[in-house]
Amino acid sequence: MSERLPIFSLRGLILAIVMVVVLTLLLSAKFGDLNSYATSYDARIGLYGEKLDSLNKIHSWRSRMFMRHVANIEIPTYIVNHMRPTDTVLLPPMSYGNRYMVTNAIWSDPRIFTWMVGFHPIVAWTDTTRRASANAFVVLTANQIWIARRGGATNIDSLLNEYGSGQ
Amino acid sequence: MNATVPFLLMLGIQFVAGFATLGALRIDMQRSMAVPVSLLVGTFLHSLAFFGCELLHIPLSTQSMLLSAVLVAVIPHIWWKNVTTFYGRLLSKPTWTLTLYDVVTLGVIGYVTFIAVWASWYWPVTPFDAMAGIDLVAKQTVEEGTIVNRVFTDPSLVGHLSNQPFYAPFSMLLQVMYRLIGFAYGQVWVSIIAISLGWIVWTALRQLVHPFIADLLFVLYVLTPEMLGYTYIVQTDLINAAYYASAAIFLFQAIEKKQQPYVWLSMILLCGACWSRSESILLVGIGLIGSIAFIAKNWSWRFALTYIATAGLGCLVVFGLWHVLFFNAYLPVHPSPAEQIIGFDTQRFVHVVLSSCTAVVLDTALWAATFIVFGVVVVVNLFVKRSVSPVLLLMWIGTTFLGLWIVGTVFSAAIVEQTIRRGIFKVIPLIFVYVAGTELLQRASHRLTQWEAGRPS
Repeated sequence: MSERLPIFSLRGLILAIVMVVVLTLLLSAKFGDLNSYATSYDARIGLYGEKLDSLNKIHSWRSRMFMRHVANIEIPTYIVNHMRPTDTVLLPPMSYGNRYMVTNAIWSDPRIFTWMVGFHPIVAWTDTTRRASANAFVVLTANQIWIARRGGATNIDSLLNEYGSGQ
Repeated sequence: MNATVPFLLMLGIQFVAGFATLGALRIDMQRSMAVPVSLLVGTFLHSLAFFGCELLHIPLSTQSMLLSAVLVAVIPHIWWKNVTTFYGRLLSKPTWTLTLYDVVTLGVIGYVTFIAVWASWYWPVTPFDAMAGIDLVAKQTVEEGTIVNRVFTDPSLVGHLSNQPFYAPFSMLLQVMYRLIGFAYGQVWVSIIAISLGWIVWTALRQLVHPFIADLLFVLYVLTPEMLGYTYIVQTDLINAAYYASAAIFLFQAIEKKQQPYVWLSMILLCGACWSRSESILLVGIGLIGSIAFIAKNWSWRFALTYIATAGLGCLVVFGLWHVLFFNAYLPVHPSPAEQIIGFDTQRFVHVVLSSCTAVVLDTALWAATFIVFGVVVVVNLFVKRSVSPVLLLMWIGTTFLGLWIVGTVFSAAIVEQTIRRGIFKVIPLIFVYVAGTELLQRASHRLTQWEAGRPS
């Protein structure tokens, strides 16, 4: 449109008021779940707008990683902090991790594990050729995690059976 | 390291690269449009030059990143006369064209933009695809100074890479650049690209209809639920949409304004689309073939064929740089696309079309009123005005869907609820520009202008 309109006019003011009404309805009137503009705005923008001050008080990049990825970064971090130099850790299948986590246990994917904590001697459950070389195994319970090794208190064969079940 | 200074420096050089390229192409463009377009063009050319460093075995570092930016900014200045003419227009005295309702709209959109930029800076990379692919490669590239890094050789990952690390490299390269300049999670570029696309759409809408209608359509575009989330989340789809949709918009404007240089701008942007998602080569191919008649009608068949051949070749070269040259001559491992191609099957095609319509297009939680507005305007325009124009944009919307359906049918890795859902990002800006260009909205725009100006309609 090439015609230049006046910056301020009575009719322009009326249009501005209409615009305010439209924007208010669009962003705040949910009409049940009918207005998905309002619901998505709340979830994607409004939520952060409300919590901006408190979120900005968390300065550490690491804390923000933990806030976002929760157990998917806590578990790999625990594993690498408790690995021995001779350990090669077998990552369990995702189905095993899912039994003990609210979200998907994506940390059990070797790419995600590496993205979270860097390169370490790990073997993916699906890596059938290298699986036998693993000598350390991740055990999860409802509120605990530890690394089990052969000859310890945990029966590794039972654990591997548990890994394989439910896939 | 404080990222602000290197970030502003890089952004500034990318702007200069973009402005100079537009100048060299002798593009006569409104300044408000030239700003976002320059950033898209500059970013694309910079990423290409940065990738050139990798091809020449120059370590990828902050220095090589800034030097490659300087190189792409300097080269177009060879056409000094054209570039200075462009700069002259760019630096002319600005005029205030915003009205009161524009200020209201921009206030709300400005807040949305602020949160998007903040979220892309604050939160770490979240999508599985990005963590398992582009950002995994980017993080290691920053550490080792080369894309041919441990991700592709470490025994823990060999055989488990799937196709994510092999995605078209644009997003990955931008992650490398933004991590190199000091952003902890990279991804700030996502919101910058989203702003550029939004700005282009807004300016294109304002060129077509009354600013009030343009503002309304722009608000609906920005608040489109599924796209809104991806304005601060790393994926390859939004950047792909930015280049693809902008290319189609400038091809449309080239014909509308009879501006030949615009078609070359659209060519650069189409190359950017092919640099950001692999399947774009197919979609661009179909779109270009569909555009031949429109270009020929406006200029000549000879020019149309020259453009299609040059644009097609450019896109193929950009596509081949990564998927052919880099995979075969540089990377120790590469995916086997043949394994993922399951062939064309009519029954599967019909299934993909139907499920994409029922599970994706008709889902108002994803697109809110976008497709409803589009459908209503098309039907009313057809019956009341007996017109479907602007046909070129409608053709691009149609061919994009066709391309996505073919991809969904032929590639086993393409999932309707994922690939096609996010592939639709390309269509959303085109839908709003199309709606604004219809005779129905043109008439409404005319009446509103007359009313606002206090003239009888």
